[in-house]
Amino acid sequence: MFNLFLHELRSRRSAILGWGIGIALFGILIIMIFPDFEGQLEGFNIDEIELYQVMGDFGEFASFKGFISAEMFTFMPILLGIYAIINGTGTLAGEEDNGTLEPLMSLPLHRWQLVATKALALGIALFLILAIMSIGEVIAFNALPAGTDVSGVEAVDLVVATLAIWPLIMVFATASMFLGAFMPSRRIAATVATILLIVTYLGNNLTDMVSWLETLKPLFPFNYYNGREILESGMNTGDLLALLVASLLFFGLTLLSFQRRNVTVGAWPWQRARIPSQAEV
Amino acid sequence: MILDWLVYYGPHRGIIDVDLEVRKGEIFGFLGPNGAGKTTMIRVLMDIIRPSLGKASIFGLDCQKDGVKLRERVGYLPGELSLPRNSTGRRYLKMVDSLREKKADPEFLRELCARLDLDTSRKIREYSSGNKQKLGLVSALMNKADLMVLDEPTIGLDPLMQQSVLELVLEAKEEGRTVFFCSHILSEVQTVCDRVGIIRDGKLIKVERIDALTAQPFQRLKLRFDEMPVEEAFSFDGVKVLGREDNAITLEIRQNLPEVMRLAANNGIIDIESQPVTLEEVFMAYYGRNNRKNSQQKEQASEVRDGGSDV
Repeated sequence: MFNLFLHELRSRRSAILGWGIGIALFGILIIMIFPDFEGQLEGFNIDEIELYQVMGDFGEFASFKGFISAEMFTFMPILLGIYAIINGTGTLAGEEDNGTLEPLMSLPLHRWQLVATKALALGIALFLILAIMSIGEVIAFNALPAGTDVSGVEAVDLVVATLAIWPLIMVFATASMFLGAFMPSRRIAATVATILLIVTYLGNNLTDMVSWLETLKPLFPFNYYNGREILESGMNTGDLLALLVASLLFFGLTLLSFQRRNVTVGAWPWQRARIPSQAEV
Repeated sequence: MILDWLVYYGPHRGIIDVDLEVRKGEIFGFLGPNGAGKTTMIRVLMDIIRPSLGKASIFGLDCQKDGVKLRERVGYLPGELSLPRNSTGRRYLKMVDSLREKKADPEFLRELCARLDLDTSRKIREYSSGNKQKLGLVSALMNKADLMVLDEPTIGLDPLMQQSVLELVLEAKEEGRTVFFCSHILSEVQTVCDRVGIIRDGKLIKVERIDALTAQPFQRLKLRFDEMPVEEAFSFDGVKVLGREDNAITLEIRQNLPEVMRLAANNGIIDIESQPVTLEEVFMAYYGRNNRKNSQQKEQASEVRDGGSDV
């Protein structure tokens, strides 16, 4: 099993490095440009621009906290959510589509072992991407010119806020795995997962402007992640638990769906029920 | 290995009522055209697809309930082989072996790679399709499983490698292991298999020994002459002219063989070629060349069946 896990992790090595270094560079850039914006943004409040409310609560944009949460922690979950969908749907459905799942399934493994190993490798890959990003942020933060007003934010706060994205994107990763195990093809699963990502992101941010959406807010995963609040007070335990429970729920659904799946057939689960009559046979 | 199940999906029929027993230590050939249900049947055995009704069992183990125990004893080569591109051949084999609890003998593994001329140090994405096939073969054969399920094992291989694979299959049989051999290359099925099963439209229509399938109560001879005698000269009872070309004639002879030979000797025969019935002919008789519903070919099928012992 451990060798399969290593194999799964190795197969994601390029993606981990590519995405990790890519978003780390993005994080470094955002942190490093803050001193240039600091003076220009004094007194500027982004919340006064209604359109930006759709993209979340940024607080005071002119402060380091506001600037970083607006420029980095608002978009990063979306970017990584896309990666989670690509990898989540690629993990079972993609391997089924490209044929690499069949040789694996001929080995003496329970289906749940296969799903669990792949989900674990996916989770660790996502964590490693965030860890690489955190390293970049710490380097950039420590390289800020002396006298930059960072409003009481410390390097560890950036690391916590970055790693706190993990439970959120795990929800999308496990949901994508489930959709891949339930739906006939990766293409359909990825389309549905992407719609979910966009709808829940915009839906959550619109709840402040559209009153009837308020009741749906607990259903949006983004409701349980607020980069600015995490920068200020760390990850809320309740939010963390809610996201982990949602991930476990989707993982459980993946196990159930894959347990029943006719791999390589590319059919919906209900397409297996009809048995031909004696005359047809 | 006993199979008794039914697989059915929506409007497309997969396999219906397969009831088949494969004996320990034999090489069993499994034949059928594209879409007949061969791969579906193999996938049911490997618990990749689950039957709607009935069950399949191998070594007395239920393919679904005891799938893990069962797959410990089975080496499988899929017909549409696809391998992880970023791994090296060696790393992939190591992973497969570790999941089989390291049962592969390193010496045998080295020998297999050498015989198939496979370099396992390279990345799989750098492999040609033939090398990928070799890697799939090594992973199926290296654990010396009690049963090997090989779907199109020689596809993409050059003739020398095809020969090596057939030798490996025969060696497995000599060691008392069972091989379920699925191939479109009928000559190699005829060479290595003890029995064959023929599947059509998801139904198993024939299971027979190869020698019985190809046995014939007649001689089929091609006679070549310096100067061709008239066709009517061969009008003996039980002799049928199958074909004629330049200075050669092909005959199906059920009676009067000495008379035919005497006539040939008197007419300056220069060559005699015996043409036994091949598995390909039997297969074609069951399926027809283009349209299996064509009545003319049904006649052809019945002709060959009449000629065979029990087909």
